[in-house]
Amino acid sequence: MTSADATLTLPASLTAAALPLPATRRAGWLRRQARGLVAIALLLVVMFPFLWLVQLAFKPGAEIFEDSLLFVPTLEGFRSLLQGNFLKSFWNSLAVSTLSTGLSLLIGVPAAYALTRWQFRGRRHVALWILVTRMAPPIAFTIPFFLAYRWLGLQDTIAGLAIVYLTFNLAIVIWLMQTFFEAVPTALEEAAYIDGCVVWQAFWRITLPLASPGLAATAVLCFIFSWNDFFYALILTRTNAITAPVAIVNFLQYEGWEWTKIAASGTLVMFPVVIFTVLVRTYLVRGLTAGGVKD
Amino acid sequence: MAALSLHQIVKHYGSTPVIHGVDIAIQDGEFVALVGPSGCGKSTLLRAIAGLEAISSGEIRLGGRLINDVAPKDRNIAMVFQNYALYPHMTVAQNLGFSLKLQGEDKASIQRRVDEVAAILGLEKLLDRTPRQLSGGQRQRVAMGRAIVRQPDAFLFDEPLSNLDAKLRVQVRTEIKALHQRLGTTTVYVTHDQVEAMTLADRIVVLKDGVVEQVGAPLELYDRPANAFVAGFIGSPAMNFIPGRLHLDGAARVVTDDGLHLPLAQAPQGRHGDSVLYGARPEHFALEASGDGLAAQVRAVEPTGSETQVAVRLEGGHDILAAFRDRIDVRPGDALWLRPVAAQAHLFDATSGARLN
Repeated sequence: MTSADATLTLPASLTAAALPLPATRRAGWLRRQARGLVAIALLLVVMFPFLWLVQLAFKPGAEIFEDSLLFVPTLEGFRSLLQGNFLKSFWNSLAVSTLSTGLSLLIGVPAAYALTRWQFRGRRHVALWILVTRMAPPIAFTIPFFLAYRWLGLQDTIAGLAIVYLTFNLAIVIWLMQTFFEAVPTALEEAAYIDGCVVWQAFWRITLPLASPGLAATAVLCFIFSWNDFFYALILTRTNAITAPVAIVNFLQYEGWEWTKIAASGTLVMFPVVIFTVLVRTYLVRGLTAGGVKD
Repeated sequence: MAALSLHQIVKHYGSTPVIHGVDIAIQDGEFVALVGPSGCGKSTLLRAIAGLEAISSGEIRLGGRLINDVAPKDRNIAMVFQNYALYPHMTVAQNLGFSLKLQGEDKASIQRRVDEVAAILGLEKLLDRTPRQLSGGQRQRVAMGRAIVRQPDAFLFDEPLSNLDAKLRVQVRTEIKALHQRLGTTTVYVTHDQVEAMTLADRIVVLKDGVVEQVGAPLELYDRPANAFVAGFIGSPAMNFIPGRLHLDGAARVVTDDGLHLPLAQAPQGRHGDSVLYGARPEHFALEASGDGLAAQVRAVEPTGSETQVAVRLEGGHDILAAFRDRIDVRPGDALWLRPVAAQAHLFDATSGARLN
């Protein structure tokens, strides 16, 4: 093809390219809208149990089995919870979860730090054996715990339940925090030593603040695990240290199932976890994806 | 400020020895550069001085005090790390004042010292920023500021310029030199870049495989390298080496297997017929008239502006590099006649690498 041919054909090809532009734009717009619609649909599917539970909590008891979403909201369910023992079990849950999360971090974080930074023989084996404690299903430990607790007098106590959760959370804390500590360059700690820090000062002032997103993520996971546990709370508590998930089951009684109370207490139980997660969500995302990509 | 002495330093990692009995005496206020190829033990030695690495045996003394078992924080040494190691969660001011805060200084005096250091390094406007908001050069200056704020007995620099681009490297290099001249603090500077070592240091320690090859002033190392390794390591572009045999009948010279005659100014150590390495720096070749000197064919011409480097192949296949301050008009494939300047030729034993002249 000569250059004259090229100049002749060029405008034609330009027009051809220019024509479909509005169509392309329309397709892009449609694609974006479709994507939004699909996202909303998926969100509705995921959120459906949650939303259904919340609306049940505000429904009058008489209309509980009606599918209509048109009803006069009432706090009847929540009010009835105040009159019973539910509040006590709610506080128990809060106490047990906070205590076990706090203890897990108190023991697990320094352990993870030592496993990350201290080069000693068998370090990898120690870390692996810590993980082994999470490999058996929790039910396998029921009888040993039950018998030991009966002997130690820890049955139906908040401390007893917190210790059980501690044993499970510890492995999570140690393994997660190791990853976060590894992400903190050792040169920073060395700089701190030279600037005048001893080991614990370097840990407290440099490493821990830098690993705080990871710490937040780990704390949330520990808290949620303890908060949501039903099985051990059912086996190891009776009246005194009963936690919210077990208390909810107690609304399923011989005389009938108290759906309003179940829905109201369910909503209340979800509340702290949702608040906690929303508060630390930035940290949570950063924490759980740390190490995945190079910073 | 204090003198620093290393005596018979040995370091093993498990059963692998990395430093074999190093002795270095650094005067009070002296700037010493440790250079050598990767894995020569220079960084390990620096970390041992800082107290970040325990030595297997030997003595490290700072100001006459034995500091082998003294914790890093009690050595009164400041260190600038290769990757700066600035605390990311602190502002520049907090980074600078961190060591003073740990020493229990009151806020007012910390503020005063930080301001002084910021003024010296031109960091006044950056004090409220965090390290991630700074450029590479600025970070480097903060790292230096953190070191000088404490007025330590000695500064340690661990390849501080290796993360900077070429232009910034030259600029910061000058700043480091000016800072040393201003503060006069004993400084140990680790680098693999011999140009950095040459331009900055009062004395250079060349290390290879955990052994000191030579200690001396930069030009001393350049002009009279103790062995072939130092000769090849110091100087850029590197020295040319041509293997041959020593001839002491008549004028002392080296004769290669293919019959090239390389001149020597005077008779060196060694016996007639010894295997030797003839060393000539690129700038120590003179252009000769046609037919005189060593016949060479131009392979490549690299003008740098200040000089012209010409890669040539001598008769017999020896590839060498010659550099000329005068602009010469040659092209690849052209024939040249070169003569090594006998007075500046170096001669090394072919087996041990030891200097012979």
